[in-house]
Amino acid sequence: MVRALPQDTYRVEAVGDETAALAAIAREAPQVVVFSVPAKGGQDLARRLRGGENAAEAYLLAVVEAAPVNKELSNLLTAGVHDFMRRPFADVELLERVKAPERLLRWSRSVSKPCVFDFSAALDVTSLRSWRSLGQLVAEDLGEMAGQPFTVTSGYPGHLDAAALCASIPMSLAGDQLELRLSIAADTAGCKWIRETLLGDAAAQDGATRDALRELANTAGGALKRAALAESITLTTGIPRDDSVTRFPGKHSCWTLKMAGEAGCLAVIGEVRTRSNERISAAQLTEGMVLAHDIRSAGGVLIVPAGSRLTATSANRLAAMLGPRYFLEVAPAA
Amino acid sequence: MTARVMVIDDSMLVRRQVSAALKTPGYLVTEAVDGVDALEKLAGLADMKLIVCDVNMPRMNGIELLERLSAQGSSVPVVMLTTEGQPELIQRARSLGAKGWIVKPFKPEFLVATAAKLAPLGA
Repeated sequence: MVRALPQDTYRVEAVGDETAALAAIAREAPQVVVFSVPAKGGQDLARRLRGGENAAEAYLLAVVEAAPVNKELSNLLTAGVHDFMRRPFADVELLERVKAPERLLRWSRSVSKPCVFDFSAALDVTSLRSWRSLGQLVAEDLGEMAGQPFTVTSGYPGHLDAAALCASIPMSLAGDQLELRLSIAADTAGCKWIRETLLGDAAAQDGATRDALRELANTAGGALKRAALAESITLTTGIPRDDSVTRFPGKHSCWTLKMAGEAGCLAVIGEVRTRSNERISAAQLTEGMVLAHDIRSAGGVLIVPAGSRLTATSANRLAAMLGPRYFLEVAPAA
Repeated sequence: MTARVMVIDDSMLVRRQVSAALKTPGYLVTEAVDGVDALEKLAGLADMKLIVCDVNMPRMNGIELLERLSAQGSSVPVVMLTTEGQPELIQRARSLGAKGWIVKPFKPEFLVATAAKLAPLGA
């Protein structure tokens, strides 16, 4: 059974008896537990496994010697078993059964958060629930960071001019040719609030204020990424940087986050545009590029997945490993 | 008794917040700005008891640092502190030996409790 599960995808531990199983479950909190059902006492064993420390969220897959009769099957399910398989079984069956909880999770997400994807066209990110509620999402995370709430309104604060301090984080949609930019800008009173509240130093230097603004953009990017993931959309982010409030030519949405009293405001600006991938030699890989497809070894083992944003270390390592005659598709560094 | 903790993050604000949270109960904090900086500083510090590390950083990110530490056979526990929440990334970090994953924005008391579990001050 251990051999049937690919080592690059699953971390598998095999144990020989119930005591060792309970100890391993308590130690590792596994996502899936595969166990052989004894001739007698299968229901009790399942119940003890289910009741063990760190077992509450494990997916229990029972292996039986013969097809259980209705009563036995009912007992196993009542005891917390999710699925069963009968000996003898092929490796591929075990693999597919172990994948089942992941499929269930995706299905659960799809029914609890209904959405429609049209694969014939580029995804309209602005139609996602996470995008539409971006202002509120960012306000919640920044509010927790600052220890005080924000009031969120839709739209760009009119008094914020091009000279406002601004930081942004570049984002990409794995597997698609979309570029996103999420920015946080602060007016004069907003910068003062950053110095006094976040930095705890009213006399903090401009560099410290800019660093804090970059971290606010980073936090905003994380809020969007996690919300998008709940809609089965995987976004990757780069390194936050100082930026200007000059916008992309594509679609954009803005929100105003007001602090209590006269403490100023922050602007949250989300922008999205399409861009073309480039086909380049591995020797030309540089920091910030996003891989458009998986990189696999000659044996088919996944080395770096599509959507990965390269650091200097990973770009150099891939360039050395693949060599200048290997060509691949990337989204350019934003 | 005290214990030395390394905080690795490219944001000065986060380094400052994490350091303040950990210094309050008595930890000694060493800061690094990315994975490359961390490896250089770790080479000269044999008494490191815990590493708190960001994921997205320039030059060498947190996952790449975990790979290096794992290859070196390091036994210093590492807790990731990041805005990332992708299950694949969390699983990757866990398989490389990371002991915890905290999503920003973080609660200081939660970070301190995690540190106390992995690097007790009285030990």
